[in-house]
Amino acid sequence: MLENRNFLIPDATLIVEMIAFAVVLILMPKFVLPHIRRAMQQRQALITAAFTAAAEADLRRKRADTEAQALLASARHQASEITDQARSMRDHLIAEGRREGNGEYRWLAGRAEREADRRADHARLRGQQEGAAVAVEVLRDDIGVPFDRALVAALIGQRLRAQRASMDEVGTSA
Amino acid sequence: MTTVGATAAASWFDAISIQADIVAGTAVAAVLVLTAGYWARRRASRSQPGAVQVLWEISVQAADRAAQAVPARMRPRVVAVSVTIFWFVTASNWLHLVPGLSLPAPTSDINLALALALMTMAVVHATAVQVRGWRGYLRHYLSPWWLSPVKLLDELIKPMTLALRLFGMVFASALMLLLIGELLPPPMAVVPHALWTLFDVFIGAIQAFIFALLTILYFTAVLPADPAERTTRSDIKPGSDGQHFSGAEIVAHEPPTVSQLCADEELSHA
Repeated sequence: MLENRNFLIPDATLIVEMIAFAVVLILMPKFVLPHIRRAMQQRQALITAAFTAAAEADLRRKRADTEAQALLASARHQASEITDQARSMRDHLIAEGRREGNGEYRWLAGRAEREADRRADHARLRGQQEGAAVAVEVLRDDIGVPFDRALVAALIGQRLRAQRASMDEVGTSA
Repeated sequence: MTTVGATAAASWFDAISIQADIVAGTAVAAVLVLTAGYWARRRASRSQPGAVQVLWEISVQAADRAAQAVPARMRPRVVAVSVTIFWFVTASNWLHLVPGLSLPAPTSDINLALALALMTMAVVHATAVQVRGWRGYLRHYLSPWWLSPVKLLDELIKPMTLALRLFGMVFASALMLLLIGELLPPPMAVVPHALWTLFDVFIGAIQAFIFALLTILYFTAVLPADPAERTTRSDIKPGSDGQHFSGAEIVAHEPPTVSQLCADEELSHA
């Protein structure tokens, strides 16, 4: 409960309280707070160093990113050039192949045509020769006309050579 | 039962009386603060601070921020005094709330409140004399001469207001707790008592904060402004050779903050 004395008037307790507070006021700034402040400053230095390192790392990362982008762009450009060169070479090779193929085709076709003509002529002459031989045999054996076999053969051969020559002339002129 | 103002007075002589429970409460508060400080010091870690260390660091940082107007070389002392005052007053204000410890809040007695105020003002003026010298200290109060009485009166009123504000708030708060316990029947008093106890915790912390903040302001008022503090980063220019800075400029050049680092980096990229 409330005391009888005037509680607004200090007494000798004030002196003791001042001494007690003075002790705290001396001990705390001398032995406690400098350590706490030092720990704070060291942590602040650590944090600052970490932030600086992070900022530098970020800077390096951005530089590397820029370099990578430049390299990538250069590689893309080179790839594009190589692709263009390959396309142009492909078109050139295709055109050249077509040209060579057409030439070879024409050469082969001409050769085959000539061979076919030669073989046809040969077959035709052979047929004519065989037909003439059959006709001579018919005249000699069945009808009884005497023939000199060597003479007939020479005549037929002469006639065929003349025919061939005329055919060659016709083919050359054609 | 909790008592307010009724203290166990140990009379040494007729004229001298010492209130033992107030002195005991003050001693307990001092031991608590010193123990907490010693605990934080022993376990101070720069990488993984504990809860006690974090509390101390928060208070140191807040005091440091509030004392920016104080000259840099005196700032550690001002911060140390204000942080000590804050925790000591907080411990004293909360002491009567500790269960099982039947001691009154020492700050609910005018003696401790006045002792705190007088000691604080003594440290403030001692620091002012140390920084300004006796001549400068007296000149501070004598210029202009016609304001000297007002300044003197102000200096006399400061400790009184400090003491009476703290004492009044803590005394009234303790008195309210006593009245709630006395006037209400026990079952009905539980909830108001609990609510007021919470409010008392709040009041105790706020009063300690106000006391510490006013201490910093009183330091700021009596100490001269630091010329080095006026030097800002924009004022720093290269020396005559274009590379070297003067000593004052180097002292005033604070390490870059994170935002400054980021801004510098963006500028370099731009």
